[in-house]
Amino acid sequence: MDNYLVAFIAGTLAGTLSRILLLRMDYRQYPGYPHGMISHISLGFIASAIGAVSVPAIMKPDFAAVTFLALAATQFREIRGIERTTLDNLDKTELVRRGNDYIEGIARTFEARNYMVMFTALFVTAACYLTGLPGAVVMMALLIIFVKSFMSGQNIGDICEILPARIHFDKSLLKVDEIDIMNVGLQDMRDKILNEGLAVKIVPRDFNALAVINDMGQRTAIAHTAAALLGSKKDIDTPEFTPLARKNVDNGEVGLYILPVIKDMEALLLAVKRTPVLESARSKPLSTGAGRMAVRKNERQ
Amino acid sequence: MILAVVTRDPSAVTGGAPIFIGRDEKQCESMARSLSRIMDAMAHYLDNDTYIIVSH
Repeated sequence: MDNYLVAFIAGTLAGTLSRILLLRMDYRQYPGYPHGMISHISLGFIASAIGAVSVPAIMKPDFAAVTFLALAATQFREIRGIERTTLDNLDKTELVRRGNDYIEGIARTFEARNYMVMFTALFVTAACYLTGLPGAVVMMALLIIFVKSFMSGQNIGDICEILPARIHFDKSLLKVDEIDIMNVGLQDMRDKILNEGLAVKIVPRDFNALAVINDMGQRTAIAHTAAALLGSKKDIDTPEFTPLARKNVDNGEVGLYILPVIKDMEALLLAVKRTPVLESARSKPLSTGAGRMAVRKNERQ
Repeated sequence: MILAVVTRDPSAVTGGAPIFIGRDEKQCESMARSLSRIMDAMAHYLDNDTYIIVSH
């Protein structure tokens, strides 16, 4: 009995700790409000308790308990829905929106992280029960390394070159290098954009990366991250200052324009580099025969 | 959606949106600015001294 209790406590603690670490790890998906943080830590605690208690239930063996625990675990599906609804509601009043793809990605991540917590608690409890506390500590360290390295995902900087670009106007058409962004009608707005705006060009390193940054949701996420980190001068009556990412239709490169509160090119480059690659935008045409053939033929021309 | 059109040349514009006619280029721009702020919309410039106010 004591063995079970120690293992259960070790597993629950390990699970909750890994949830707290995951909350801190990713500032973009970190709930910026204390109540959100508390609700996520509480859910993480419940998830770890479920994971931890399943080991004694199997060892006992009490399969009715295991069935109930599996049933309880499925309830965590709802977390995705809760997070999606909250972020959707908040997005309606955002000046620079996250976009549905980003919200869906965040909601999915929150759900998946609870399952990760459950597995962490289960493995640590099993290790503690079978090998004692030192085994549990080793298992926990391994799982935290796994979680940190495999659950963090790729960033835009991993798959694309981010280069400073020039903002200029062709009559009333705002351009970032050779990429058309939008038509700005008023002269004083054009002057302000020229003086205070910043632009970068996102150049994909391969065909897979091109498919990612051509995704509209991904481009909205990049603009949102840039505006969230550098600020945006956009207000409700100045749609001209909306940060926009548009692509060069010929080569798929993307130009991003922003009118930031803090005009700092290095910070903008870093913000774009650190934007996560959304799961919904990720595609790998190069892993198919047709995709490779298209790239080969294109290179020969 | 086009919320309004501001122009110096009424013969160049027709359609369902309200059309505002300015005396000169300066007045057209001033009206386009006011309209875009009033309606939280964006002023776009067309070639023939014409602005359209568009809600995106």
